[in-house]
Amino acid sequence: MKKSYDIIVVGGGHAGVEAALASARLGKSTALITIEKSAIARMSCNPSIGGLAKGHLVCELDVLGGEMGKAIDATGIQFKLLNRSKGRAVWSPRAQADKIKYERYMQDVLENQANLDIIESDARALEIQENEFRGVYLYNNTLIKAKACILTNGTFLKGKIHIGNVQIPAGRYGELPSIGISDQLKELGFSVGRLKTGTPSRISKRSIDFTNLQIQEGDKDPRAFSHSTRNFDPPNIPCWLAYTCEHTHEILRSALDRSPLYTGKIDGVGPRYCPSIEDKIVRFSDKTQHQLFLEPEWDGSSQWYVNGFSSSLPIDIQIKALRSVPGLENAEFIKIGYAIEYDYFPSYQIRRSLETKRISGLYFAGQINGTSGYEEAATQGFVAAVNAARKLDGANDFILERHEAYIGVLIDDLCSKETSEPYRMFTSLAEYRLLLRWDNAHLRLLDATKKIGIQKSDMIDLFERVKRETYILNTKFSKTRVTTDNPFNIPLGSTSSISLLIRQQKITENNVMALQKHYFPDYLLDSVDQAYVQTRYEGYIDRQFKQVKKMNQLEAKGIPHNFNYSKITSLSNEGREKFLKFKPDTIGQASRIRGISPADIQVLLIFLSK
Amino acid sequence: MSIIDHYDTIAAISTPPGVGGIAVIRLSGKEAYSIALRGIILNRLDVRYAHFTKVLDAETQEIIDDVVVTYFKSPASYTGDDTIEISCHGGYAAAPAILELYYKLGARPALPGEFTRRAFMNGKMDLIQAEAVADLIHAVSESGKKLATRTLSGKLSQKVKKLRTELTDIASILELELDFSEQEITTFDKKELLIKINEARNNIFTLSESYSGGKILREGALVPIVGRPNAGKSSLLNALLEEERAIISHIPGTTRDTIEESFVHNGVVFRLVDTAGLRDTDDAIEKIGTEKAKQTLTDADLVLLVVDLENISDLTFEKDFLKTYSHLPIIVVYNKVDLFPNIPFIDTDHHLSVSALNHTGLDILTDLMVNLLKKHYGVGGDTIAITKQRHKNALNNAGNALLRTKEALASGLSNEFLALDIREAISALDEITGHTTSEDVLNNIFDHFCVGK
Repeated sequence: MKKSYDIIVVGGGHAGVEAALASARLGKSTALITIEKSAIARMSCNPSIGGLAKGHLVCELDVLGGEMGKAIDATGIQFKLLNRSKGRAVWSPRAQADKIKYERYMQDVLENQANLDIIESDARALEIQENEFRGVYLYNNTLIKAKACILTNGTFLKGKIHIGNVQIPAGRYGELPSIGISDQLKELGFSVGRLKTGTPSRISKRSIDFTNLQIQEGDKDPRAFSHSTRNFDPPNIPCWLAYTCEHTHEILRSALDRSPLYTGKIDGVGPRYCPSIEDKIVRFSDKTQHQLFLEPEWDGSSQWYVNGFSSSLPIDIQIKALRSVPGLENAEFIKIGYAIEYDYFPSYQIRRSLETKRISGLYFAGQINGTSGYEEAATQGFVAAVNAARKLDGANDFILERHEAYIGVLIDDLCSKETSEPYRMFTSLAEYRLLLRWDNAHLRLLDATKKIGIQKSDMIDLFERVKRETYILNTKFSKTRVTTDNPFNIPLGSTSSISLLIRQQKITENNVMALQKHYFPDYLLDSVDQAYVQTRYEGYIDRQFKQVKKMNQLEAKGIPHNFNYSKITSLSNEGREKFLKFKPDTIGQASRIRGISPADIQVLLIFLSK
Repeated sequence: MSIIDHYDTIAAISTPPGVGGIAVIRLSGKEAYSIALRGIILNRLDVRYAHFTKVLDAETQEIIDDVVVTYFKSPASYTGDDTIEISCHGGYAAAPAILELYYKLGARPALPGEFTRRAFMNGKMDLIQAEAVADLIHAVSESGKKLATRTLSGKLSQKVKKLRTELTDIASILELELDFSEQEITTFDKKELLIKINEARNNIFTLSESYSGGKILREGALVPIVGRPNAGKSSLLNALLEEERAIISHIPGTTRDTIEESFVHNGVVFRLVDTAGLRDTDDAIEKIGTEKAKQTLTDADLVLLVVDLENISDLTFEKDFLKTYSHLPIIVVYNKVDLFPNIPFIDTDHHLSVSALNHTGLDILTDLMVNLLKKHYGVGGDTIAITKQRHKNALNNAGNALLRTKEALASGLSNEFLALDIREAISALDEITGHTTSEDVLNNIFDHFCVGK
């Protein structure tokens, strides 16, 4: 441990890991401060990575030079491409993780990373002078100096676990919360909020009666998250599906008066997309059953995660209710489900670089910004570190736009929307969804990746090749004729161009491999596939590009950070209030703030002209 | 905030609506020059030169109006982009017709304040000017707000909000299946989805069609008075105006041959057009067949067909007319009832005896006119109607987007493509109300569907 670093990362969760790696890989001397070294990269909740929209985030992070994709490829125990019955843009990879292997993988990577020290301690306070970050005080009051700091405290800031009427201060089950920093930030003028999330119980495998459950297997042809993963041949360990019944619901309902959710003990707002089981039976009382997914926490795991049964009800009720589920009559509990409340800092207080508006050199990433999810956290950690490093180098901010990446949508949303519940990525939040496919992250983020400078050169070469080939193939598709005697065995009246046949859906998704093999053997399958998708959805993709072009007019119009909204009398009161709160970077961002009227934008545009 | 494209060529009437000697239509944008030329009979325009020319509907080859056109080349124009100003005859007919033509020729309706916005974007304004315009824009939006809370417009917003809810419901169904995997949720029946899309489309269409009723409220009802020579058309016109004592003004009508006069009754503006210009011919029916009269009758909201009670032995003209224009509400007015005290007074839904000479039956006639407008266009009472071309365009865009949704659904495309069209429909509606948030769909999903593992 040194006395001073370039960048300090506080927290060893998914945001902290990516932040520490990115910072060190950009050549900055980096310290990662974590309360418990062996808990680095722990999956606090579900044992899986990816999923709809979240899988997109992981793929984007992988292209930019993050670690998460590689880690899950190396340690996943079941892979599935979701939404395959729908169009390309909404396919998304998801994997069940071996939790233990995953955290060990990440810990090894951190351990072997040059420029990076891991300090096992509790960050008690920040050294701030003249609104500038200077260092971090450890629990024993040792000051470690640094030029920038990325706070990734997750659920540990004043974390409080609820089980029935019992409340335990904790950051995670059996782990201490972090107390000091939250109050200090409040004193510095940050506004603090309270959010809630929950996790279900874990039960023992031998107590599950699998004969009554439905099997859920992964894909036979698994796809890797990372472009750098080679010889991908992961295990395919099944999950199992169980259903609650009316009796389960009766038991839960009988104990609502003992639920901290309904007795008012929990102040924090929970996510609607991931409701607790008691919340589900209250809000959707007409449903006679709810799904529960039983997922192994690691390869050969005796501990299984009961996905869908998150609860903060008392222990006796959780046990009784789960044992009423067919197949789980004899369930033995290893860990009980709980709700956890924690402090967060409403994200209008950060810029798109993730630097706080109040304190120079201080960055927030992950749940501290009110997001939920490993993937959301990881991407923020990465972006915060890239920006912190760039600031030290005197380079401009690294910002992804909404049409470039889900990461761009995520961060822009944080900076222009008020979060009333933990923020999770959804594809419907991306207005340019058809452009942001999981499979084209390397093409759309090539320039950004080069700008950051973490990704290895062989990967950059690969991405450039795919981009170049895709471009060429788009022309070749319209010039190459397919004869009636074709390798796809498509009955044709006459010769046709490949592009026409793709548009007519005669050449489909299933023919892409044959297309590459017979017509373009010198090109990568990936390139042929990209060209196929671009041809197939050309009209829609063009429309989206036009929308982007229109919106870019507003995105390009910047607003100075010190712009004086107070003196513009012609703004509506609500408009002025919101602008003062969010201090948007651009007119585009300003226009997305809820409650801003077109007239406010017009007025702003006019005053910006001076 | 709706997306605004600065490459588009925009068009609007720049003079206040209603009565005035001339009206000015302004076109501005990169294509303004070429679009302008498509609507007039000149091949080129000199910069800053007032050209006297005609606006011609290329489709019908019909001359819409004589106009003066001036070309302001970029950057020396109000907006800084190429700008064309077309001065035409004032009143209610010529300017909207020309504007409509230019929408067809490639311009799009300008949003409120958009000319000024472009002027600002192109650096044409300094601070003082900008401040003045900012106040102006603000004032306009304030009065817009007041207008909206008043009776009709308040209800219109509600109506549009309701349409929007129908669309966000559809979007929610589509997004639900995209944002949650097949395992987590039950999927929606495509047929039911199609029914919902059709319903929404019909409702949007109905509101769009209310434009004619809305237009009557805003600009008045166009009421041509037709009839054989000497039936008493002019006398009836003058009698009505005298009776109502509410002459608004005397303005030239659509064509140089007709005279338009207005009066207000029960809150409705009636624009009477005396087709007296057609009288100097023996064969009135043939004359009515001419283009000009046809145009007046095409635009008519209500027709007064005057019959001379002294001359009812041969009613061929009247019968033919009623047959040809059966789609229009027509009141057959039997004039000169004063000369026939013994004939029973006629007073039914569409037939009425009057005396233009001593004003008998005129009050009944005006009431009847109001009632017929109500019946045909839903004007008055608590009906909801749109009054602006901009609204109609937005509704039509929404309707077209829904049509594309249907086609995409039929061709088997998956939800994200349908969602793109639905979102366009929603944002088209948002242009009417100025309301936009992308979270609405997700909020709707969370409120109505049990999701999440």
